[in-house]
Amino acid sequence: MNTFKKALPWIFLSLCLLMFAKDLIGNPYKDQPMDLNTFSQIPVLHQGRLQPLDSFARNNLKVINDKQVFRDEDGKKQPAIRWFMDVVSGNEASRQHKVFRIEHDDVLTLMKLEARAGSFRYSLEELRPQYPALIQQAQAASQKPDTARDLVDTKVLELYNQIEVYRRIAAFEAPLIIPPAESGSDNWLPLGAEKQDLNLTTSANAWYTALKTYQNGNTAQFDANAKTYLNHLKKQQPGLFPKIPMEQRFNISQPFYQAMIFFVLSFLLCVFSWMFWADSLNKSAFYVVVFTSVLFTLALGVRMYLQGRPPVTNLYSSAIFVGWIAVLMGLGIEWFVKNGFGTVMTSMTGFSALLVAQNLAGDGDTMEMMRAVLDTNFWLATHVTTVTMGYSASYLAGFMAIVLVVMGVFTRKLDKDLYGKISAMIYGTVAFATLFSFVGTVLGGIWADQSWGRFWGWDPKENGAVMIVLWNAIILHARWGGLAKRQGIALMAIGGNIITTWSWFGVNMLGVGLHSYGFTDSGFIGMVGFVLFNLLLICIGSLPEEMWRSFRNFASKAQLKKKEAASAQA
Amino acid sequence: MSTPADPNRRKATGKLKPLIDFFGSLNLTVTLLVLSIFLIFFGTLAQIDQGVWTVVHDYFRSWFVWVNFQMFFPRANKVPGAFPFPGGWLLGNLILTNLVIAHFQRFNLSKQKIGLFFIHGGLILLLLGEGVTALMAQESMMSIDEGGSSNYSEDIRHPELAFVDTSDPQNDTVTVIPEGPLRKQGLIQDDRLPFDVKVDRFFKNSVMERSPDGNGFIAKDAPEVSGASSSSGEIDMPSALVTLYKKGTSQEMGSFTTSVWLKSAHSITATDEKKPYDLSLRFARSYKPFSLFLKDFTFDRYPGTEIPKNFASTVQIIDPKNSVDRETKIWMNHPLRYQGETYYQASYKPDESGTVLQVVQNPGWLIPYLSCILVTLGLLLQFGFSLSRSLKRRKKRMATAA
Repeated sequence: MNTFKKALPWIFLSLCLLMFAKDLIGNPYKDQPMDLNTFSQIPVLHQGRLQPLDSFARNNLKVINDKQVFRDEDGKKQPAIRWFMDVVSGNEASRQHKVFRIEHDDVLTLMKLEARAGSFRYSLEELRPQYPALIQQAQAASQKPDTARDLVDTKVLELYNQIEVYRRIAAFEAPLIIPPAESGSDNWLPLGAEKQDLNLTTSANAWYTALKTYQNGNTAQFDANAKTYLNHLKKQQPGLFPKIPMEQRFNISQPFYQAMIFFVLSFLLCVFSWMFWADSLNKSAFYVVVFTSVLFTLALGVRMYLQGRPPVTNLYSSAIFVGWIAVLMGLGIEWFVKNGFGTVMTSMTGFSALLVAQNLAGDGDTMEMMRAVLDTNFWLATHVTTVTMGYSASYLAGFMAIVLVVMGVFTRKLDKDLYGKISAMIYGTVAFATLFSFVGTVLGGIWADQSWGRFWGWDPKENGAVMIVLWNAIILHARWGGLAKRQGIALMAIGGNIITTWSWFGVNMLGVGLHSYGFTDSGFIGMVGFVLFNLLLICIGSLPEEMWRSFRNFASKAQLKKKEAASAQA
Repeated sequence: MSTPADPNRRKATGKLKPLIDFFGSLNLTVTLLVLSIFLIFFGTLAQIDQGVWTVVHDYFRSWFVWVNFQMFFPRANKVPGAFPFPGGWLLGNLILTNLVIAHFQRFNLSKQKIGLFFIHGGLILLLLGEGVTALMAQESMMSIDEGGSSNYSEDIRHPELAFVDTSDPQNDTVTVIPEGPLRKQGLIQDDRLPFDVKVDRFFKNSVMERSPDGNGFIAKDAPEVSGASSSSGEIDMPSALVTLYKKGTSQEMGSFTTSVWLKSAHSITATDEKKPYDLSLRFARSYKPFSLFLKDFTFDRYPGTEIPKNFASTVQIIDPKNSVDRETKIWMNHPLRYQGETYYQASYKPDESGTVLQVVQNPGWLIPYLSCILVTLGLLLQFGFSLSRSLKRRKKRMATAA
């Protein structure tokens, strides 16, 4: 038994390693009749960005289907690239694939469809009879200004755009698949352009062959053609390699998703370690967390390399980065306390941030190109990164305070020593958050001054950032002024969660948030839920310390001793 | 960390002591910071309905503000009433007082306090800088067509009613009525004008519709462009309905719809003087002693998309007074600084036939840079110092434990 306990951490580590390696090296498309693994590595251009066909297929299927996979007529899961090939080759099956996700009752009524609870997916064939009616509604909706649209308008436009995605693929409008004849140019063209420029025939023919052989099921020729064409591109456009195939691997292995699962595992291991096998499970959790952090770091690095940008370029990547910083700081805390608290924090914050990121990536991780004013790696690297680190530290302090309150009020785990240690860490993290949110905010002001001559404009985003700075400053001053002690600081740190959430997401919802459909928006509901959750914890944590389970016990023990002493004297 | 019982603290004495202690106290700091957070929160919510500059004026550059209860509720339910709240000027000045007093009372250049000294010194500068900006900075827009030049910029937040006397073939004489009197509406008498002007209606933002009889346009009131939607580049387009009267009489000379939407002016002839005037509502102009000639405007997009990648304007600065005649390029994040003003690449004409530059004059622009350096240095010193102390303590603990 003891050897098993000793080996357990290594067993868990190997399990994680194996699980990840399987996706990193394996061929996920091996069930497909054709070599889609090779074909999905072919580079295409979409929305100004060069990417493997795999990314295009996944992100666009996600727009329609809300998932990167779909279920075929037999209910079997199929990859996005299969859907793309069916659509682009004009395969009859593509009309039958139930991929359009429609949930809203009024839209279903408009399309004369029955609600299909559980799947909510419909095929193009099912949408066709009512398509003219949809166009009519979509036209009316698109003529209204953004703020005047109601939920039905928005959903109608959504469906219209989803069908557009399908149409554009079927009509070869997107993505652009014919690379420019001269290397160095970025003038990619759609299929059909070879009629104007004979230099493009090789690429065009490769695509025609692929489509034809896919359509009539000529596997051998399809596979050979895919290989030849990819090799041809490697010679003709050497600049695209190995980036493009690497991105395809990145999509397949889904490192951030895997990291999420591993964080859940380490969290569970920690929780179990409180009940039995403390040392062995604690160590297992720590090993898993370290492995996950390494994986997380590598994934972030690869993503930066693929995009050629600093880590934060949009809301999705900000969530990823917030998670990464919180994970690093959590590991730092574990190094400091060495009792598993840091492991719990790392798992919790890492998992939460990745979960938020998953939900933010509405159209998948598209790594979109940066608009002119944002097209500066210097400011993205300095301002955006620092301000995001400030968010991250504020959340970490808030999560530590949550754990503190839950531990203190509901369990007997918290003792005076641990209470002091966690409080010190909350304080240190708040100090860190103050530094980074302040520097980040001011750097943002300087960027604004450089871009349009206004250091500070009081717009919602800026206001949100300065609220975080002020809140952290309040916590620090309240502590220095003796206005708040350990308990007060912890409760204020939980309040920091609310303020940070407001500035990170809330201000983005202002434009629509309080108008007609804001309240039903899932993001809005999520935010309100999180705020209420934190408020609830603040209320719970406001109970006097003597009433916390950890200290009630402590207090009653002291009383017991007193009684014993009194009775002994008597 | 500074504790309340600070040995270095210089005690105030005399009658002013309680007052100074109150204004320099940490309790006041925390109270003011909390009030500031609320003010900023209200000022953010207000931008759902109001323009950012209205909010800045009402909330952040005011002594008191009435906060409407309505802003906390969905717009469908009408909620009346408002409560007063300290405005940005009041809170800013109190924080400044608090900081300055605390600075003299508590911070000094000792090793332990030098970080705090820098941080709070930098914050004082930052607040002063924002004050200077609020009082003195001016922003306007200059649009130039490719192959054309311009010697004025327009303040797109403030319209003016302009009367241009075109009788002199060499120079036009321009008389303007600024936004203030226009907003008040009513009769305006100006000695420089040969007629009286009555503003019948003034719309801060408006839309134009073709009038039902087919002659010209009529202006209709429109809600202010809110701060939350102004990031999409929308601006307020004011209009005014004015009636002109013969000077000192009630004899009507005609009613006119003026609007920044309308590009052509109304021609008016004051009967007595036979002088023709052009009447128009336009964004307030400020004329420069030099002009900018737009040689070239480029607009790059990412391949296969409409996503802008870069805009750049190549302009020739023509300033005969200072004998300057040189070419320069203005593009994203690379402004032109000239004659105390800074020209930023802001936008472009809808058909891409010309550029739109943001013109900023802010004598205090450098202050935030200085303050940022000071505060960052201070924070690093302060937290670095306490981190190293805590690490030392930890080492000691470990050593004793071992």
